[in-house]
This record gives sequence, C-alpha cells and structure tokens, in this order.
Amino acid sequence: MGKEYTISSIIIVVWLIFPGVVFKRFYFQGQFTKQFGVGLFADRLITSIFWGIPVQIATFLIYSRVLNFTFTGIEKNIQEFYEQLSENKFPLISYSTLEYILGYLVCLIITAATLGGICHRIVRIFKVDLKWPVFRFNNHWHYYFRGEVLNTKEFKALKTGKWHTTIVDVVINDGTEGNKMIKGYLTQYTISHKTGDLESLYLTDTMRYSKSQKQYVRVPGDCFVVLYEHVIDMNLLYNQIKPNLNVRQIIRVIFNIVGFLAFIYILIFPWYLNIRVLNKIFGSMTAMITWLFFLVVISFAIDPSSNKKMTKQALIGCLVIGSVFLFFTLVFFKIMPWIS
Amino acid sequence: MEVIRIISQRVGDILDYYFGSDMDVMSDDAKKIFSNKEDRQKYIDAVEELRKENKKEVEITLSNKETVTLIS
Repeated sequence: MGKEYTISSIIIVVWLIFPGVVFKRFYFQGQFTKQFGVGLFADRLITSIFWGIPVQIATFLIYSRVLNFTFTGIEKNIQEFYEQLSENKFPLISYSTLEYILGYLVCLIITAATLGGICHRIVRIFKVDLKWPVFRFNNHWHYYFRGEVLNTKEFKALKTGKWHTTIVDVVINDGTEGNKMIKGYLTQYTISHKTGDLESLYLTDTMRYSKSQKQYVRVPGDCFVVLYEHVIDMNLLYNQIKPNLNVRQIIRVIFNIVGFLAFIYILIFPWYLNIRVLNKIFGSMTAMITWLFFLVVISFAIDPSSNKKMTKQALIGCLVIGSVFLFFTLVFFKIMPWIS
Repeated sequence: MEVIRIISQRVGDILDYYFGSDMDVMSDDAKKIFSNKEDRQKYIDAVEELRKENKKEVEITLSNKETVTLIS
C-alpha cells in the first residue's frame, strides 16, 4: 500500500505539479513574477495541480495528434509500466518507448510554458485583470504606476487620453531637519521579493522644493533613488496624450496583426504536413527565422532609420538572410521535394 | 558594423513587441522621447506649461517631425 502511494506521489509530481509550476512561472511574468513564490505551500500546491490538469490534457492532445496514437492504443503499455513499478521492478522499456516518454516530457514543458504565456497575454491585452478584480495580480503598485487604474470604474473620470508617463511627487523624511518634497518622472521601481511591498522608486529629471526660493529646483544627476521606507506621502500625476491615428500608425497596426497571424500559421501549419517529426521541428525553426527577417524588412519599409544608406544596406542584408532561411524551410517541409 | 547594429536593433524591437511584456512604467513612445535630449526637454517644458498654466492641451513637435499633444 505504502509503495503504491509513493509511486502515485511521483506520478502526481511529475505529471501534474511540475507542468502546473511551469505554467505559473510563465503566467506570473514581468512585474508580477514575485507572485509566483508567494503564498501558503498548500495553496501553491493545489493551484499547481489545478493548472497541471489542462496542461496535461493539451499536451496529450497535441502529442497524440503529432505522433498518431490514441489513449486506448497505449493504455495496455501504461498499465504494464505501472504494474512493474508498483511491484518494485524496473520496467522493461524499449529505446523507442524511452524516446517517446522523453519527447512527451519536453512537449509537456513547452506546452505549459506556452499556455502560461498565452494566458498572461490574454489577461493583459484584453484588460481582463482591470475589468474583473478576481484576475488582478497581487502587485497593485503596477496598476497605479502605469496609470492602468484610469481604466477602472473608480478612476474612469480622470482618463482624458492615452497614458504616457507618470510623475511622482513624494514627501520624504531622511532623518535630517524637516521633510523634503521631491518630484520626478518615474522610470523604474522595485518591490520586495518576500513581502511584495514597494522598496524603491527611480526618478529622472528630478526636482526638489526649495523653501528659500519657494519653487521647485532641478536636482543635478541622472537617476534619483527614493527608498520607500523614507516616504511619508506620495502623489501620482499621469501625463496623458491625445491618441492620433495617422496613416503610418494604421499601417503599423495592420503590420503587427498580419505578423501575429503569420506567426500562428507557422506554428500550426507544419503539423498538418505529411513529413517526419524532425522535419516539422527544424522546418518550424527556420520558418520562425524567415518570419522574423521578413518582418524586419517590412518594418524598414514602414519606419526607415535616419541613416538612409545604412537602412538600404540593412534591408538588403535582411532580405538575403530571410531568403536563405525560406529556402531551408521549403526544403524541410518538402515543399520543394526535387531539392530535398 | 553599423548595419549589423541596425538589424539587431530591429530584430530586438520585433521580438520584444511579440514576446516581451510591456510592463515598464514609462510608455514606449515616452521612452523614445526621453532618449533624445532635445525632445526630452521639449516634453518636460510642455508638461510644466500644461500644469502651471492650467491649459487643456499643449502640442510639441519632435525632432523626427512627429507631433505629440499632451492633454490635461
């Protein structure tokens, strides 16, 4: 009985908790990364198992589709494998089966990371976390510092345009006589790894209030660091701009959407081709590089850099690199079989 | 070398757009403005003008001829 429990525990850890942990690692990214390791152990364990289940289902569906097998087809093998393990015997597996298992583990990690990243993107792009507090990340400072609170019902009245920068006004007590008033453009901030509390603010173009001159005067230096423990009061000023959609910006938006759709197509298309798995993998990799360099070519056409001569050379260089990788992509995908 | 720098910068921009998470506390447009000394000063002056004179909007023209309209 005890032995069975141990094997079950290993299976749960490898097949459910681990992908769940990878999923969460990629879901809590950027300024929300600290939320990944915060909270009760039991809480983290349960959420990891919870996210591990859909990741496992998605991985199995993708893997079985790619390698053309069904659950009922491999059920007997799994059962034999489990029985041998529970009898404390080393399971007899062939080299090809081992390859399948390791391949599945790699696919599991990639799927977990991809799903985590996609979920994060969906929540952020569609402002799901701002509309429904249940999806909100723990780092509430981020919503205030980026002016995202202007999109919430409570602050909607203050939104006049598109958020551009944030000016921070702080009253600090540094232990000397009297308090100091400082203001500057917020460029970065840090929060505590353990508690998630604000630790420091990094300001540029900083000014301090001069009591003698009765006005703000410039503080010499490039970056002013404010330790939050010295802050008494903090006031945020959001600089907003009028969103002006000119022709170039519309073209940029279309370009980004087309680029994204092409990326999705490249991800899906190879798996419908009747070629070897290795061809699909290498073909996808070269297709990604082709995609990237053709996007660079188009971006040069839309947004040429200030040096026209260099732009032309860079454009030709990218075209050559893109074409070379396009050739390899076609070869790997056997779209040009007379060459392969 | 300059060509390689330009290409790698563009490649980085595209990768950052599609795979990076925009979480900085300064918008991308503002970062471009702040990276140019002249534009940076114009922007700071415009913000001061907007706040001090209680204006509805202030328009600035950047060194690349693009215009930015700050609104209160």
